[in-house]
Amino acid sequence: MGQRWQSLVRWSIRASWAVWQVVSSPYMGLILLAFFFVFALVGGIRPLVRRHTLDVTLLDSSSLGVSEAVSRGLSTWLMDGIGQRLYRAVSALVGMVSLLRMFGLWTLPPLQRGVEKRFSLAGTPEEAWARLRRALATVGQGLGPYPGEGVRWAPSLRMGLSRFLPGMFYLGILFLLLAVALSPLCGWQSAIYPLSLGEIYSLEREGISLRLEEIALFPRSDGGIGRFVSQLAVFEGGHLARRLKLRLDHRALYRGLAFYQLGFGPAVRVEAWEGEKALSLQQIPGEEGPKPIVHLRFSGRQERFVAIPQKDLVLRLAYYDEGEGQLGRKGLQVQVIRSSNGQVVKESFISQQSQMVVDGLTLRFAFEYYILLRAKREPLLLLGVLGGFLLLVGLLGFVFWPPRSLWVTGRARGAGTECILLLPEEEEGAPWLECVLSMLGG
Amino acid sequence: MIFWVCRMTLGVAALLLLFSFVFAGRHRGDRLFLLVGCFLGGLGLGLFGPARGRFPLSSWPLMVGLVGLAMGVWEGILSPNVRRWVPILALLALGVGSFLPGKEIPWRIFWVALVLACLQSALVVGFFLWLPFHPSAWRQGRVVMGLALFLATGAMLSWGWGAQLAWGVWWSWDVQECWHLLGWLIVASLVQATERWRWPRLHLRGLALSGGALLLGVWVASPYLLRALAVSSAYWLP
Repeated sequence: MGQRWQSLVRWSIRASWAVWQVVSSPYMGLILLAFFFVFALVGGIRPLVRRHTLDVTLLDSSSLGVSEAVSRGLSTWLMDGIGQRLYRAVSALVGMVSLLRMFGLWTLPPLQRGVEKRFSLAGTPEEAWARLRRALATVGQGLGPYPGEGVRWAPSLRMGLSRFLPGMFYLGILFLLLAVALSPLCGWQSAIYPLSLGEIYSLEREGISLRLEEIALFPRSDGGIGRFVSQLAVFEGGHLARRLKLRLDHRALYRGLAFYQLGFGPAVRVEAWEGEKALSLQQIPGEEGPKPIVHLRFSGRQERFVAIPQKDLVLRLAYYDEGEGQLGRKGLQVQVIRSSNGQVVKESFISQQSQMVVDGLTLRFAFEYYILLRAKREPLLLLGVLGGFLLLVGLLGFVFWPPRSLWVTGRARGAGTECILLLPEEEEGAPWLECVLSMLGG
Repeated sequence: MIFWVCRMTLGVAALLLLFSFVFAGRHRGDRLFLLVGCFLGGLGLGLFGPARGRFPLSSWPLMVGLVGLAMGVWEGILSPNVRRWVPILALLALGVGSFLPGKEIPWRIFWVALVLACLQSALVVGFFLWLPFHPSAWRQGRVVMGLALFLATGAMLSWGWGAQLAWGVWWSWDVQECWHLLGWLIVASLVQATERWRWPRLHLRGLALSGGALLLGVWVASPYLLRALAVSSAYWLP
């Protein structure tokens, strides 16, 4: 029983060594990097047809070209299908390798192959060991007390906190992977919602509703839009709880809930009045029912249709944006069509707020903007930030305090002591080693 | 156009200061790098002011930048050897002057990411172009590649930070993000290879040179490349 137990322990140790060799091998690192290279390449070459407004709902998939359709299919296959499972498996492997390498850097596992530096020192092993300790201390290496004749090798680790710095790189990777993996479980995000001026968006899950109160545009000197600031009113229990300012590069927080303004785009407000009475308008196609005010959202040059059922009329509105992102270069072509026979009753091109009279009906048009809003609860964001910070710290550690694997032994030989330093091949000839050897007279 | 010239000048200045830091006290070129880097840094900062309709010394970040660079110039002229802290001080001053905004210089985290990415590409390419003149600079390979990886990581993280602040997603497999990742992976592979193997034996020079050149080309051309291919990134193109 005892022998079987011992062989089991020996087998476990050999297996652990094999795993450690694979994990610490540069080939493993290169293979993992190559996997991510393929993923990044696919992500980098696939053409994204989304516009900067992220208004993906407005895309017409039938208008995609052949190359776009192929690249979309490729990216779907690689990013969502088999590739997604492979990506998860590789990420898990990266996590495991990072964990083992981190502990390897902090605890210094014994070397399997290395270069031996032999030299003799005068005096007893304790005296020689003390000289060795002093010499190693000058290059920042620590060495424990003389372990005695019975123990063959003693590890020499970097002194101080600097020995933990390179391992921080792998700890950072672990934190980032954890933040990515756990985010769907701990966090939450709403759908991207387009919100026009005065519209209300209810977040039933959080028990609040949002109203877009104000949009402020700050032009650049070249006529483009420099800043786009929107003001949201947050209502809780029917009462105004707070007003929030959103910018394209600035989120707003309310009770742990983050609001992001993902983008913005042009919109047109349409109203129809018959004397003092507002008529109902129906957007075609549209999921919402008839409303007295319709906000039509555009993404570039597009056309929209609005029906006025009570008057047998349909409005065809074509939006033109001459200079993308330029203020004041927009226009709207309006056609009023009788829906029963398709006859164009009236046609006009407008470029600013105006109104039109048709069959005793007053149509009012006003240019405005809409924003794309997303609400998120992201409790693990801090973990991701910490991971990124540790990555940088670890890299600095690798550059300025690179890890050194060094094992030392000393035993009495004649009148003196024979010392052996065991170190990896790549450390041979390193300046710090030359410094230690010269101090010891070797 | 003037901003493009400013950015390029500042980028080259930062690169030269980085080189003078790496080679400080080891090569004759360190003093030249420091002096030219400081001169170009001062020129870039000087151009920034008029471009924004301000005098060069009317804002404190520009003043800090110019004073730090002036110190670098005097150190480069008077000191017998370039000390390593001087290029770092000049680099910090350049960073303060360029990126810490007064009210008149808009803060753009994506610009920081772009500049860092360009710097890391230029560092890799520049190092391998420099080698034929100073073969002994192989010894600095690990430090240079480590710094390049640091810059690449900084570029990726700052990009992710900007994306998180703006859109609430720090990673979304976007074209620009993937290009950042490609750059990081190439440099990380080089670091991984140089960590265990010796440079001359494996002849990694060609690989690193082509990788760095590819990245530099992509980064310089990326906004124009995307527009030329009619491919739009989900993110704002600086």
